[in-house]
Amino acid sequence: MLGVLPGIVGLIQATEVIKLIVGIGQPLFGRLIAYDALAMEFRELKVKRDENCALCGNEPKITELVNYEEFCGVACPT
Amino acid sequence: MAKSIRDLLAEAKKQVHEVSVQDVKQMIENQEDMVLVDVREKDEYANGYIDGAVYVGRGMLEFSIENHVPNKQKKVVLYCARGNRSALAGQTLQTLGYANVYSMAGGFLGWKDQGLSFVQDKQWSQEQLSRYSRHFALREIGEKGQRKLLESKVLLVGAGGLGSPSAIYLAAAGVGTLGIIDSDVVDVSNLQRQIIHSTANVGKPKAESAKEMIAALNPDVKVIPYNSRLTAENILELVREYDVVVDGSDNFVTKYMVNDAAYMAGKPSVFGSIFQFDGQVSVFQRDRGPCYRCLFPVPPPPGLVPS
Repeated sequence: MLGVLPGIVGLIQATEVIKLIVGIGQPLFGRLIAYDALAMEFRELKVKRDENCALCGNEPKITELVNYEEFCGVACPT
Repeated sequence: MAKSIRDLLAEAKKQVHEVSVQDVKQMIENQEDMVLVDVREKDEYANGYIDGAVYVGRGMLEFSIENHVPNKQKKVVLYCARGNRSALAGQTLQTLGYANVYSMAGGFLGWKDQGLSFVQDKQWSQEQLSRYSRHFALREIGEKGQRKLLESKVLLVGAGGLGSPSAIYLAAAGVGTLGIIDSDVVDVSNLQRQIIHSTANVGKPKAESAKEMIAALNPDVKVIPYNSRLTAENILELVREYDVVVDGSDNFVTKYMVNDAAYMAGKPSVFGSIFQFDGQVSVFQRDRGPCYRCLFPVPPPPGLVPS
């Protein structure tokens, strides 16, 4: 992993935190920023709530916390 | 013949409509569409002001009023200590084209005399005035925003690659409380990117190491280190204590868990993920857009998971 990569991404996160707290600007709700360090490109993907989402969909299946190790399978790094 | 202050005031009060303290109280209670402006000196304002008022000292009035009230048709109610300076200020605003300007007769002292409530901000120390001066200079942040930052509580999940820069800048920005949860200890191989840790802290719990760095950076920040693993048993209780959650984790177990807990607690979670040269960022909040599960309903198959 390129060492500066988490620096860029972590600071975008910190920027969003400050905006949320102060209540300014347009938070990244419904948008996913994809950063490519080699191409030096930021792309914005519009993302929508999935009405079939197990958590926030119209008929949620997850109403309390589950077993996440099991959900992610054995090979999931912890 | 030169005018006396008496003449000036009489003129101003003829030109600028006066409203009473009770009128203003009613406007506030009715949540009327107006801007209440405190035009006194800074030290008078510091000793207390009417809740909801914006501060534009008379000295800077002509220069800054448009920043606070860009719409010149908007109702503007001015107040000072007794209602004289606000009348003069009102005249100035009318000259600048403001069409609905009022001056509160009796002023802030009249407001206080009637036993009405007011607020007083915590005073800044000399050091804070200097430390946050660049934030104060931004209209979007200012003293109000800085106060919000100092009163806020942010939970950082992980003090690794993503958590390190976030923690440092959030601490520098004056986020008042930073909870940092990480069960790991600092390893030499972390130092290439986990910039909150130092060579001297190799072997130390990451949450403790991060706390040390932040204490050296900004004494205004209270760090709560959790040298433990985030689990389905402890996460909800933890998340409920904070205003915002920052997902700086490096595994899917934690990412799904943070997403679900933040959603259930109604708190915004700031998602970040990184792999080799690529990164992704988004913000999830209930009723404000999708959640992590909308984007990634199931974790990738085990063979595809980067270690």
